[in-house]
Amino acid sequence: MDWNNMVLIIGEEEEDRLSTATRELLNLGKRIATNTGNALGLVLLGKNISPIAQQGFEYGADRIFSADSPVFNPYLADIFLDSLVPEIQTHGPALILLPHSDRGMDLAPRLAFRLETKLVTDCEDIRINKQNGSLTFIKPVFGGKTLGNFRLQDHKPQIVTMREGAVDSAPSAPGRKGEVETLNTSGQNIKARVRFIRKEVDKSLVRVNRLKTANLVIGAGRGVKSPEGVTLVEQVAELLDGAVAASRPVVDSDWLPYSLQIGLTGKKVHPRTYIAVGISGAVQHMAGCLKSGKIVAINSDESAPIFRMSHYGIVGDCRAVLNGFLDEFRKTAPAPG
Amino acid sequence: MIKIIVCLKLILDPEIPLSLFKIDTVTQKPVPPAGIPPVFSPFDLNALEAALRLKDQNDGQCTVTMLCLGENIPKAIIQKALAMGADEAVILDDAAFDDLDPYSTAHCLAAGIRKIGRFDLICTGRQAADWDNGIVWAGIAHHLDLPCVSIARKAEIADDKLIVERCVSDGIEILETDLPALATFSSEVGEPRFASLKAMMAAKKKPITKWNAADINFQSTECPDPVGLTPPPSIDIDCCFIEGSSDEEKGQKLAQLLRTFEEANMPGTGI
Ligand SMILES: Cc1cc2nc3c(=O)[nH]c(=O)nc-3n(C[C@H](O)[C@H](O)[C@H](O)COP(=O)(O)OP(=O)(O)OC[C@H]3O[C@@H](n4cnc5c(N)ncnc54)[C@H](O)[C@@H]3O)c2cc1C
Ligand SMILES: Nc1ncnc2c1ncn2[C@@H]1O[C@H](COP(=O)(O)O)[C@@H](O)[C@H]1O
Repeated sequence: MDWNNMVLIIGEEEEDRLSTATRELLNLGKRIATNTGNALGLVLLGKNISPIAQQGFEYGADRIFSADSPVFNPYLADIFLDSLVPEIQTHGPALILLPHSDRGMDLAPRLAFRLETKLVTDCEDIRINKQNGSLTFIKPVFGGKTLGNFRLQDHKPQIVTMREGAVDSAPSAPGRKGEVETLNTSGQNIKARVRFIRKEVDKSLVRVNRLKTANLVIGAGRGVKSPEGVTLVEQVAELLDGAVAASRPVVDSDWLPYSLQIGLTGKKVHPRTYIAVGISGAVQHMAGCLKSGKIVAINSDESAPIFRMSHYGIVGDCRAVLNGFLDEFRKTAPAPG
Repeated sequence: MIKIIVCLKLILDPEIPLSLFKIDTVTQKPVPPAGIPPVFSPFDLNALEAALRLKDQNDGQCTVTMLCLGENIPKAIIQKALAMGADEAVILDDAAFDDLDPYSTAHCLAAGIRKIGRFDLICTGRQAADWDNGIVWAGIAHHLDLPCVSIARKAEIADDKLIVERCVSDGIEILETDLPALATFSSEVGEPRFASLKAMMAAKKKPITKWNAADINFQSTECPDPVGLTPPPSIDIDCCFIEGSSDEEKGQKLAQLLRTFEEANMPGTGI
């Protein structure tokens, strides 16, 4: 195993575990590391991060580096950069992977300029040439109308951010353990030019979190026409124990909070069923829900593109359809208790 | 006087239907369809809107300069954006600027900004809606050694400080930095304003400065990395339409369908 040409993941935590996106990267990183004969490294900076860092071994990391300090929380780019850059220069990884998360999309391009290298953002896949180990990064471009195939072979390290949910999480091998290496940085003496004042947690955080766990997500589009139309969608969601999402025009009109937007620049959902109500099926929207098990579309225009991506379709006025749905569901719903 | 520079990129209209989207197989670049003019990347217009709100709040004490890099930038499109309220535009226009990669773009924009001279705030979009890179902003900040905040929905200036609301997946972070600084903006800013007819007329008199590659000492040295474009996996699913004599009836049938899923506890269904 080549330590010098490591595949290095800059990981993230969520609550007291490695984030889902980080576990996805460990899976992808392992595949690349194995195929190119290199080691898989994971670096984590955070407050009380050490116990979480250890989990990385379970998910396939060969080497784990961590720096545990309150200065890393909340995330400030300057502190992360000044801590990571010298370490990266010492270890010389060939490839750095980050999730395309709030933090990753902020950190990765800055890191690339600091290290005088190049990057590809928001990738969906990485292909490995088994002969020479070269990598091709696949990313939807032009709003998903085509796929870009990027190569960065003359640059070291190559940096990539990966779209969340693009690959499966690494399987866990409980009991796989190792020694977490402590980084030289404490982050303490770094002056952050951008200062954190406070955070305002979204008022609809419960609904945002439901998007990740619900088996059914129902998305409201411009075709719902009004806040009353949104209410109807919310009623259906409640009956089905589902989560409510929105397309961009709906959040732009303030009918639902921005945090419920799904799509290219919104949340990515992959429920078992996604019901798209009054949504045309623009690629930028579908980027957030195409991984759903089944897609059901309700749209008044039979030629709407959404029907080409849906398993079930209803051509009709969404309000009438949803009213019929609610009547039937309430009629046949089992008595509570 | 607060001086704001907004970077705006002209791109192939991202809302054109798939049927109009064609790729030149030789150059591996999209071919702009005839008769469809380029548009400013939507997030860049959000950045312009955020800058114009700062101008409104600091009435008479703030100027906004638009900065665009490209080849053959149409004056009419620049004037239309100027009519929203910016004071002037600087366009970096040269055949050498056609389709630069993000690293050269950042290099040129930083050079353009240096030539403009004094500024307090650079505003950019979170990402240009062509390649959705989100890279150039970091390059500008790096070359000009500026503190920066990405994905903002709001910015305010008070006592030579910039206060920014940054969008994160579970809320917003309020961050502060000294000026000069750079911020990138997202659709959460809200819709860009419309220009009145009167403003359109007035915009024809606003100054547009044009610089070429030599003016900013740009020599193309970098050989861009190879990129190929391939069609996305086709997702032509055979849609099963639920029929009925009325829309209500179709809704009832959908409820029944979802219920049979539930009863059969069929894998792959929602409930
Ligand atoms: C860079 C970029 C990023 C973007 N990111 C996102 C993103 O993250 N998420 C996102 O959602 N969008 C995004 N967009 C916008 C996207 O391109 C589309 O404009 C948007 O998704 C359209 O939303 P919609 O389907 O609700 O509205 P529309 O496209 O206007 O569709 C409304 C649909 O409702 C139907 N309808 C009308 N009346 C009725 C009725 N009574 N009953 C039933 N159906 C009816 C119509 O037939 C139509 O199909 C982005 C765009 C760009 C350029
Ligand atoms: N050619 C350009 N002219 C002006 N601004 C640009 C140009 N290219 C990129 N930008 C700015 O940089 C941001 C990020 O671009 P990108 O890295 O290409 O996604 C854009 O939203 C613009 O604000």
